[in-house]
Amino acid sequence: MKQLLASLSETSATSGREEAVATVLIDALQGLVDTVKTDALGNVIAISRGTGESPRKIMLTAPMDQSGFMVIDIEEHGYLRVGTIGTVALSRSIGMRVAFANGTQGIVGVEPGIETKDIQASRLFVDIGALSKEEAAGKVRIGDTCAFVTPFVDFDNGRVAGSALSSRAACLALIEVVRRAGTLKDDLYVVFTAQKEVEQRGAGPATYGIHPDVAWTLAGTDAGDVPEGKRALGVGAGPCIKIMDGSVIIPVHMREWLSEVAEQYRIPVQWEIRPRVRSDAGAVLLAQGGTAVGAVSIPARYMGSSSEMIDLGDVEAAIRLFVHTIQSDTLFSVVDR
Amino acid sequence: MLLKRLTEAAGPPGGEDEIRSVIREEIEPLSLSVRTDVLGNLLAVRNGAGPNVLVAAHMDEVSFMIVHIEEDGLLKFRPMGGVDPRVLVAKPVRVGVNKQWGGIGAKAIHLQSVEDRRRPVTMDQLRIDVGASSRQQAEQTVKVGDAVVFATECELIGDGCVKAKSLDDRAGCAVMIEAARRTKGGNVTFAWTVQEEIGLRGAGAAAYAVNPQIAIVVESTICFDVADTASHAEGTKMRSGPALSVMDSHTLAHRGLLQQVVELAQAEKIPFQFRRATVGGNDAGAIHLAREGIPTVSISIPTRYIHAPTQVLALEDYENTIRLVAAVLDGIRDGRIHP
Repeated sequence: MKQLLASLSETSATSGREEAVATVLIDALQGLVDTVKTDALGNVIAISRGTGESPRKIMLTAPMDQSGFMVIDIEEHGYLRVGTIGTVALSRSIGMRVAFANGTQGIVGVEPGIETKDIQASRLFVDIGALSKEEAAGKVRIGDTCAFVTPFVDFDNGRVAGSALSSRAACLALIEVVRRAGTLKDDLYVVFTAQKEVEQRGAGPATYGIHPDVAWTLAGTDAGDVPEGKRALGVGAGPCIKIMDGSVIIPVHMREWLSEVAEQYRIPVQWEIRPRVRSDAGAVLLAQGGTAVGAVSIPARYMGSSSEMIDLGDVEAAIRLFVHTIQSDTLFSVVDR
Repeated sequence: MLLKRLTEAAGPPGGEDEIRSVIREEIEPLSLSVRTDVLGNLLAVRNGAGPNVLVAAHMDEVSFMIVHIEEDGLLKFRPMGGVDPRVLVAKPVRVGVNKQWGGIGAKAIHLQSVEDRRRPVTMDQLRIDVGASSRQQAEQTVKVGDAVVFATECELIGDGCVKAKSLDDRAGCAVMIEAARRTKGGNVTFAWTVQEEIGLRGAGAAAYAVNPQIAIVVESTICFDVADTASHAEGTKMRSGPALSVMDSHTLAHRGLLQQVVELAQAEKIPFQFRRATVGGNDAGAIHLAREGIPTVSISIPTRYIHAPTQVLALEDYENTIRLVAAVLDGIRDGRIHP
């Protein structure tokens, strides 16, 4: 799985252009589920029919995309002008390497004389080393996107680092959940969501189409365990059960359920409270007439940077938490109140 | 001229009655099945064969609302839609259903210091003057809650250009009317939507109701190819054809549908360009997220000075946009473009 994680992390897949990651995930799902489809927003939906008489619907989600840049102009000397997709720390992007889906690589530059604090996307450019506008236009087109991509690093102690790692690890975790959970009485929908970095546009419509009875989301969250940091969440201290974020207050019974499963199976967990960030769970919550949703996060340092760090032990614990949750006989007692 | 009839009608967000009846009259001879929904969206259906298509352009225009009448008869106002206050000083407007003439002026500007005058005027400092001598006198023709639109007349100018207010998005509305006239068959709902300028509100409801397999949004879009603007800040260029969106603040283009439209435009030799921007918004923002998500393409007419009292477009761009929208509709009907 580490190799698959490495390859996914090194794949450039910005919001709206998740195809390269989707292809890998669809391939990895072969033989594990009944059907896989892709919807109008790019969400990949894997469906396993339950064997029970009146199967209900369980939905799990993990996000595929990452933020980045979109090409909006190709200049005289081959420089690319760009706009941002999702949130990009512009001042920290200067000099960084970016990669396009077709393998073209570039370096982010800024017009000289701009103060770091005043950098805007309109003053940036991407240099793909082209000698002319024609050469550049032969490699990229208006509308093409690129993302920060760095080589995957394995520290051999459970810690790993790479681009978009928390999201890609969440995706692979759900594939592993499907593999280990086996046949269920109920229908299982695993959604690899698109466009989470842009106001979570994929999750809502996906949930609308599925109309699940219960849902859990898995994604990354910021860990604060760095020097002088607030240390609210720690990498390696376990998956985080979400209590609330800026888009959702997780229904109390949903988070308490996860907590009970964690206790029963001795899975160490942390608690996530993030008033200023939004998540797919928020979009799931409000879909249709409202959805019972719970959320788990993999703690990650340097989220949104070119290189996130996570602990594979946290990922493994999240997998176990989800497997026990969806295999539980009393699962729907948490929603049938 | 169709553009003249459409742009000179009033249609503030939430008060689109006048423009709706103008459009309704224009489409009458087409024998479509027409209805107005509860929000005011005008929906006209052609029940033919092929995938269910929604084509949308918004009827509303950026405008203002009178919020207070001062004792001296001057009117305080607030915007409905995004308007740069700097474009407002000294502009003529029409207030309320009586279309009372008014002029926008800055209050007490002569009392400002030289320093103050360097700062842009805010909307709070502006007033509409309808020539009233007092509040009571003003209230004979205007009232709080009245909508205010620019007084610009539509005319042909220059080398095949049109100047008017509200080309955003009456030009799109006109393109749709012409496309409806020039195409036949297909399973199409033409939706002239409401309240786009204040949050894409009509379009979301229309998309939910129609639940199409494909949606086409026809808009006017930013065109700043003037005054030494750098190429990457233009958005679009005038006389380079309809602009296809790749991204804006609310939507990332559906790549598959966009590619099919590009190929069709190339095959039919219809000039087009890409909208070279990542910000802004249009009805696609609401439509593409309706229900389970709807593949949506935005086709826009380059329009200079958008959201300002006088907007300008080139008739060749307007005509090529009609050609492209009509070709896409026929393409969907014939299976050349599929969801």
